[in-house]
Amino acid sequence: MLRLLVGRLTAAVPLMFAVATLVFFLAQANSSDPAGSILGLDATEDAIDAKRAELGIDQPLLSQYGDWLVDAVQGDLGTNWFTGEEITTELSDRIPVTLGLAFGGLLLAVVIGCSLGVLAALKAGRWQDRVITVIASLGIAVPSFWIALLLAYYFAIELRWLPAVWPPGGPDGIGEWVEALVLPSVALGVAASAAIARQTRSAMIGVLQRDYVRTALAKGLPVRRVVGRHAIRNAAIPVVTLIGFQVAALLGGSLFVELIFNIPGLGSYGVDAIFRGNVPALLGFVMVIAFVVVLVNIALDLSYAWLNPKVRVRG
Amino acid sequence: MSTRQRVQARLTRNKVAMVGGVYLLVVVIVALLAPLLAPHDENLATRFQDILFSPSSEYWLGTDHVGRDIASRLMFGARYALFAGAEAVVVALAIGVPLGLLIGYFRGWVDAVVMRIVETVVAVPAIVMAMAIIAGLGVGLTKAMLAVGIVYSMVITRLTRAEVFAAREELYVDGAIAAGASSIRVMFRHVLPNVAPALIVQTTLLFAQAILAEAGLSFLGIGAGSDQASWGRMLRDAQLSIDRTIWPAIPPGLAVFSTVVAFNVFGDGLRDAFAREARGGRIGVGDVQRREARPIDNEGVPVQEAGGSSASDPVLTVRGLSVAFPRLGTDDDVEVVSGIDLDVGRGEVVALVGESGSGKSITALSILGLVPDPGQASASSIMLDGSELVEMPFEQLSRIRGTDIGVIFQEPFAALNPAHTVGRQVAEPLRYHLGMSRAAARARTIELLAEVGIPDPESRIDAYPHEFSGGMAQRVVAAMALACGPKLLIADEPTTALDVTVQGQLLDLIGDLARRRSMSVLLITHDLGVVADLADRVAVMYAGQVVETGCLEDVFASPQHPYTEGLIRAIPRNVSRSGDLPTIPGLVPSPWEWPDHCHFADRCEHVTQECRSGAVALTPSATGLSRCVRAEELALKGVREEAS
Amino acid sequence: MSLLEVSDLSVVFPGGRGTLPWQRLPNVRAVQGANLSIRASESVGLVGESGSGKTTLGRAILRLLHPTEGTIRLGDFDVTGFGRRTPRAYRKAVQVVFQDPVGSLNPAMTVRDIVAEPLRLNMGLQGEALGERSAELMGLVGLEAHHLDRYPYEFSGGQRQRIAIARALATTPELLVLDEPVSALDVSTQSQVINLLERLQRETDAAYLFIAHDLAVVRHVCQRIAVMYHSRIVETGPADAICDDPAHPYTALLIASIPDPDPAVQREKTSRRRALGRGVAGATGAPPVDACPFAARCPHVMDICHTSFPTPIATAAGGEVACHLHTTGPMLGGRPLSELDPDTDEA
Repeated sequence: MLRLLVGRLTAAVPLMFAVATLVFFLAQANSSDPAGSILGLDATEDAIDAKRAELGIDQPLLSQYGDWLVDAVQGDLGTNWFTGEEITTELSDRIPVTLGLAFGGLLLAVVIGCSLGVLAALKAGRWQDRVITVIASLGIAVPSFWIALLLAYYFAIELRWLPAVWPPGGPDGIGEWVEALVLPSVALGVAASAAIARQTRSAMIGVLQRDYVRTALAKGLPVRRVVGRHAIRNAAIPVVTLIGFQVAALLGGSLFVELIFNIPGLGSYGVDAIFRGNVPALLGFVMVIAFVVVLVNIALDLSYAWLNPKVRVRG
Repeated sequence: MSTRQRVQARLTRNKVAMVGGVYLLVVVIVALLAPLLAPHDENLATRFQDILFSPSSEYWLGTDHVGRDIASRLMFGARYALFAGAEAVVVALAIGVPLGLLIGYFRGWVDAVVMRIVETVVAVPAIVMAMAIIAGLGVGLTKAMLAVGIVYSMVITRLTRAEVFAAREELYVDGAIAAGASSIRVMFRHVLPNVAPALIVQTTLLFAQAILAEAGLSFLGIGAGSDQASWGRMLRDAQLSIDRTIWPAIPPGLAVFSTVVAFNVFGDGLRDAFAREARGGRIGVGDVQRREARPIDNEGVPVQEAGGSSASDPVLTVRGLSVAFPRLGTDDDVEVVSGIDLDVGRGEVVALVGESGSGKSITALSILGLVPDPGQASASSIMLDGSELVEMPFEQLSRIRGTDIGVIFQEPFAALNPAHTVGRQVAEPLRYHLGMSRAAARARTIELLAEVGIPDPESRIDAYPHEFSGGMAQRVVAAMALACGPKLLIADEPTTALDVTVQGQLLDLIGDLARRRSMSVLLITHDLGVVADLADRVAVMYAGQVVETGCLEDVFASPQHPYTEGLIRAIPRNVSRSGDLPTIPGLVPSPWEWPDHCHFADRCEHVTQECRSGAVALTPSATGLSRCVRAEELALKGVREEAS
Repeated sequence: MSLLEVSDLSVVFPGGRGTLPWQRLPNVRAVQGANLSIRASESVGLVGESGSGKTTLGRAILRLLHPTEGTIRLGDFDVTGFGRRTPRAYRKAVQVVFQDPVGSLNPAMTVRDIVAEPLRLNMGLQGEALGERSAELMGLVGLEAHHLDRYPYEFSGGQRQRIAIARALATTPELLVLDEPVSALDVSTQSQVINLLERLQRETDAAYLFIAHDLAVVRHVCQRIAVMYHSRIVETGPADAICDDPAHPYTALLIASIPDPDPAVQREKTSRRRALGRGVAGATGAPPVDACPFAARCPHVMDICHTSFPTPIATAAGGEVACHLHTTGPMLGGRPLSELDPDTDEA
């Protein structure tokens, strides 16, 4: 197992490097001049030049890249062009917020999605299956930001059960965290739970048709045990793959949800960076997101090894 | 009927998918005719003060926060949605398909490089990646969807590549190469048509995702501009007035939602239509239902006595077993096993012989009560050592299955759960049925593994199935089957998947175990050599019926049914032979083609008018039972007469 | 002068990737030092179990993979020297029939397309000539011209094999490689297809390389047989000699393992089988380079069997055998195993 971990981490390094390179050059492709937009319309030529030198964007592209890379590897993601703050600091304040949101959505999605998926598979063809399949098909079609809008409106504005805006200064204590995250998590989690339900259902159905399930039944084991001990572990593998994708999708969806609920997370940071052409901030944002996704995928790969003994022995 | 026609037929039968398809058609029509259908202008308010009106006859869906008619904007929005989806999908396919084909087929360093790029792009969430690209390209609907298309092309590349990998492994690709086809030809003529179904399904689903993506990007303000009434833009505008009313957010959201649903169900319908076989689903726990013996079985000889002749102390008696499956595409049922009577005596090895299509495996599964859904088994009686299994409740039947009957299936690795150690799987029935403690079960497992001939059982007990060879794995399956000391062992083609030099050892093992434990064996096989190796008595099955039974020597030396004769003669033997191999002309009939008279009549060289006059019963013959009206008068050739 | 000459052929597959990016799994030696020859119009059987390398050898001859060492010559073709592109003329001369009737025909193509493909590619036939030849081929294998417009899924296994055979014969090849052509068929269909193959060989004069695991089937179709075990050819010779009086212990074990439907014969075989095979496993793991791969299971094993692979010598029957029993110890010198005294292991 340890070997697997080391192997995956080693492979992750060039990947992060590649992401960084790709995004760096993509972001720079835009021709608009940030110095001008930072200083405003009545800035003088000299002021603009000075600002450009300050920001370092008068250097050739490759040397900008090199400088940024060297700093990034040491953990310094540069300075925010617009606020002047350290990007690393700005991001680290926001990471727990977005992670909390994404985790909440994921928890919801996995719990609801897996249970519904297994139920649908066991009752395949009967009414429980049809109902769940329909609901899941509808669920994956729902735009997360639309649900967020509706939830925000009904539960926060109309009914006032839950807060509509983020508590200033951050939530205080578990209670406030949960209250603040419930609506956004549900909004995020709906589509994910539908996707997970569908995948779980199809994976379970596939497994239930396998010979070793038939053998387990032939051994006289009760259905509950056959499903719980034999089927689930093998059906888990494709579902785990999907959960990996869903984590990426949830992080993406958090952009919208954070905007609607005014949550000071990574998503709103990134959107702001795009609008303003704030290249280093955008870069930092993408790198952090990519890093989280890579870590999650490594964790999932390790769980594969636990689920599927063949993977452990290779190499 | 060509593939396309088949797919079309299946698709049109799927009502849900057709509803989705029709809905999409409506959306397309609305999009095309929007300028004609829309009552108001998409971007200008008719009257500036008509802000946030509720739905009325003038404004069908009300107005938004600057007085624009929502219904009209919604119709124009369909245009943007379809355009956006189409752009993203076209870009994705244009990049992804050729790339995927190339790297999937040629591999090598190009594959490695491209896959690294794909992994890089996919490592970042799609929306985020699209945003990064937009940061470079600039905002706007066209550029935004181009970015989305580029991100999606990575998905398409990966999918195409995977499909090409799978298709490359197919033997028909080898056949084409051997026939002289160039790589290009193989790619386009052989691989691509078989890759196309998966691509088509994925494209439909991706279209839906693209519409969602457009809505999202426009909502953020980096997609459609303020002068474009896309649904996402409408949601963005709706957010501005959310504190006053939620209504402007409802129609565009519903529009996106319903269009995406339509694409998804249509795509799912396509996927099901392309699938090679229809799939069942439930755990096959159809219990055997009781039914009365049918008249045909009563013709001449009462059923109850028919099979009882040679088994004096029967462990298993089966009477009138039939299994029916619903026929695909119709409402009828089709019998695949018809009126089987079978006996297995104590300590006896009975071989159930037949080729594919005879129904022998289904017969075994029915005895176990494990007929796969949607099959339905019925019998007048299945007695296991005095207990009637027909209509027994599932829990009780499970118990009997676990303790009194042991099963060995054909594929050893498929029968073993790849995620559990061998020891755990063998111990499971010990712990569950016999209530043994973990330590006791482990000790017993080691004994069992030794009994089936696995060397070094103390360490092998913790190994996983894939660490064994085929023959060894089958021995593990045998150990599992024997764990609770069953009275009857059902072995369904136990050696077919094994090499011939290993086969004999497994057969020796089964024979030894049967003798040592006074266990009866029901051996199911198509190989007469295996039968001769192990069996005491034989029952021959053809097209769902037992056609002959008797003891081994008799049946093989002087068969009482032309099919048995034909089978014996057609086997290649290790003897010097000249001229043609004797063969049985024709094909085994499919269950829905079974005639009402003798099932073998069309292929039989001894057929007469009488054979076709009506159903033939299983009646006593010189050596056992036979389902042939001419059994007495025919002197059929047995196994000895072929030696020269 | 033989039609096909395989000399000292080895096929080694590179190992895959391990867990760490720079790791490689060990190579797989599928075929080692194989020598095989087939004369024009001759039918040679290549017999072995799983892992023997027989399919790999066949694929090397078909140019579906490239051997690591050794040479293959067919007529005037230097097959191993072809380079990247295989000449059209070679494809015309060597054709294949695979085991799996389901997977070997492209489900998306009509039978007509399948059968016509080699005609179009290698002989440039078109239009009416193409149609005529296609119909002719269908008749040759016992099917009808109207079957050309159907799809593979509409046929039974035996019929699909006939279609595969029709495609293989389309260009009147000189050598037909058949890889387990009847193994997936029922007994009654098997004999039909075997009879067809024999008749076709008489009519077309093609040479056959008949790869199979079933000695009894091979005996019927082939004049000569080569026996492979775990990457090595261990014995070759006339079919009757190999099947009645083998010179290699593995061949003897193989013969004793073939189930015979005559119960009396089978009883005798069972007791012989128990005596002949030691150990319980089949051929697993990597085959040794400098030892006899059968040493672990051979009832006559000697010390030298673990340290070197025996050099093949000529047998009395007219073939070759690679076994130390013939060159050391009892010094059988090419005579059949039956001349060994069962108690003393001496000749």
